[in-house]
Amino acid sequence: MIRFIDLQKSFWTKAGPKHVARHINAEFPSGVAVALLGRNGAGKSTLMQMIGGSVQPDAGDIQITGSISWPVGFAGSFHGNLTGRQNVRFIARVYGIDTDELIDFVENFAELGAHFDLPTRNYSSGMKSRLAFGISIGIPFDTYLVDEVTSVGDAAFRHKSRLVFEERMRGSGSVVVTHSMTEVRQLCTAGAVLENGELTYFDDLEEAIAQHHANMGTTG
Amino acid sequence: MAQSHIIRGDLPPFTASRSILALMLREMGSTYGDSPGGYAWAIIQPIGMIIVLALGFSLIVKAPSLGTSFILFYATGFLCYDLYKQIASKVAAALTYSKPMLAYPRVVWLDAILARFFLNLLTLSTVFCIVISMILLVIETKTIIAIQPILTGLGMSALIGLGVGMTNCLLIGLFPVWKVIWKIFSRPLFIASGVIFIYEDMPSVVQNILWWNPLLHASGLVRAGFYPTYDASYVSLGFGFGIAFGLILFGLLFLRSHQTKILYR
Repeated sequence: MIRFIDLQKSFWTKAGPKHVARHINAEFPSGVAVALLGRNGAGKSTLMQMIGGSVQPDAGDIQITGSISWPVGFAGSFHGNLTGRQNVRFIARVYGIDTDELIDFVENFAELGAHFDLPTRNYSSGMKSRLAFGISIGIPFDTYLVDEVTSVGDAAFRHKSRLVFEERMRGSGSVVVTHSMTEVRQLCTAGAVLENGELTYFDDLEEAIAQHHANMGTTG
Repeated sequence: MAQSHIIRGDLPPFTASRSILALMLREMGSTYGDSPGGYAWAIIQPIGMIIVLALGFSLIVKAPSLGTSFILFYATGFLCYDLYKQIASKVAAALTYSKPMLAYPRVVWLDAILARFFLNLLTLSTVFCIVISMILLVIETKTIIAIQPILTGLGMSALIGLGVGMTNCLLIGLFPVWKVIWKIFSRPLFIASGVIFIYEDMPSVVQNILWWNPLLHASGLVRAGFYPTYDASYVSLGFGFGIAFGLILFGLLFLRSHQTKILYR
């Protein structure tokens, strides 16, 4: 369960304050795959980072039960001087997972070949995302935060990731940000729309998508 | 600004110690990672430094200020000072060094600081034990060693290093020019901290000023442990540890509230 209590967050820009969250009160139930929808720049990634804990809200609480992943897909979290293998080892240690098991899983999953033992600064962004997705999906979390990551790689890789992801989702919940409505429908059963600092949760994904399209002035 | 906090839910026990250990292991793996021998260089480097220092000074000066062995005299002073110096500079850069790792919510800023503190404390304690045992084995100085003042002195030096490092981490993060100012300001510390000249060697005018250098208290304690005839009566435990804990407290308080500003400026 993720519960937002009177959550506030804003940034200062030249055009004045930009509100990501103004008094958000909402609750995502446990074990549900929630699509987080909103226009570009609405603050979806910031909200994800607040859930993950790497960004502090200005005010209010986020209450979380169960373990939660870091926002997967923003590949900035790799240390450029460490190899893929060393990065995996580091994360396994932090999260208390068996190092060798996770390394085996990621090595097979991410299909990096010889690059797995090269510093991640030499990786393409696709390789980084594959590594990031592989690591996070290799660790059992109660809730996964997935930010645009399932759209990386070629068709075969996307297919494989979706299978692994769906397998994981059987026991876990997730919050997913993606711009592809096809993917949203494949991965999620519920939705939440972030618009103007207001977050609305819908048990039914189609209602959320309809609301999102209404906000955007487009048709689904 | 209203108080805000996130309730992390079910964090497994030992999350902090796990993060600290992971950070330490990753630093050991990547420091000197490219050179053959790897982390062993962290131990070899200060040993070489002491040998050079002792050889150099034995050519200029007839006898060290205490005892008869140059190498023991400089080793005791230098290792104590180096403990402070290394910890201070590594801790000051801890947040920027571990920044990519802080993206994982389970790794927090204090883990980054403590990991560097413990890793350097461990490394340099190992260096200390190796160097001192080697010296005592090779040159038979027949010293009666008192462990307690040595540990107290080294502990004081390490904690001053932690305090100075945390404070500098904060100040450099907020005002980058502080890095340059501190570099100039701290340059004479090597000479003023009892490595080459002990407190009793100094004229009283200098003594009155340098008494306020907490590192001189740390090195005095270490030397008192190695030289039974030397009691380092000027040393004040209250002053040395007071400065150390004062700086650590200052660093803790302000780093907590300013860490994001330092990391993402």
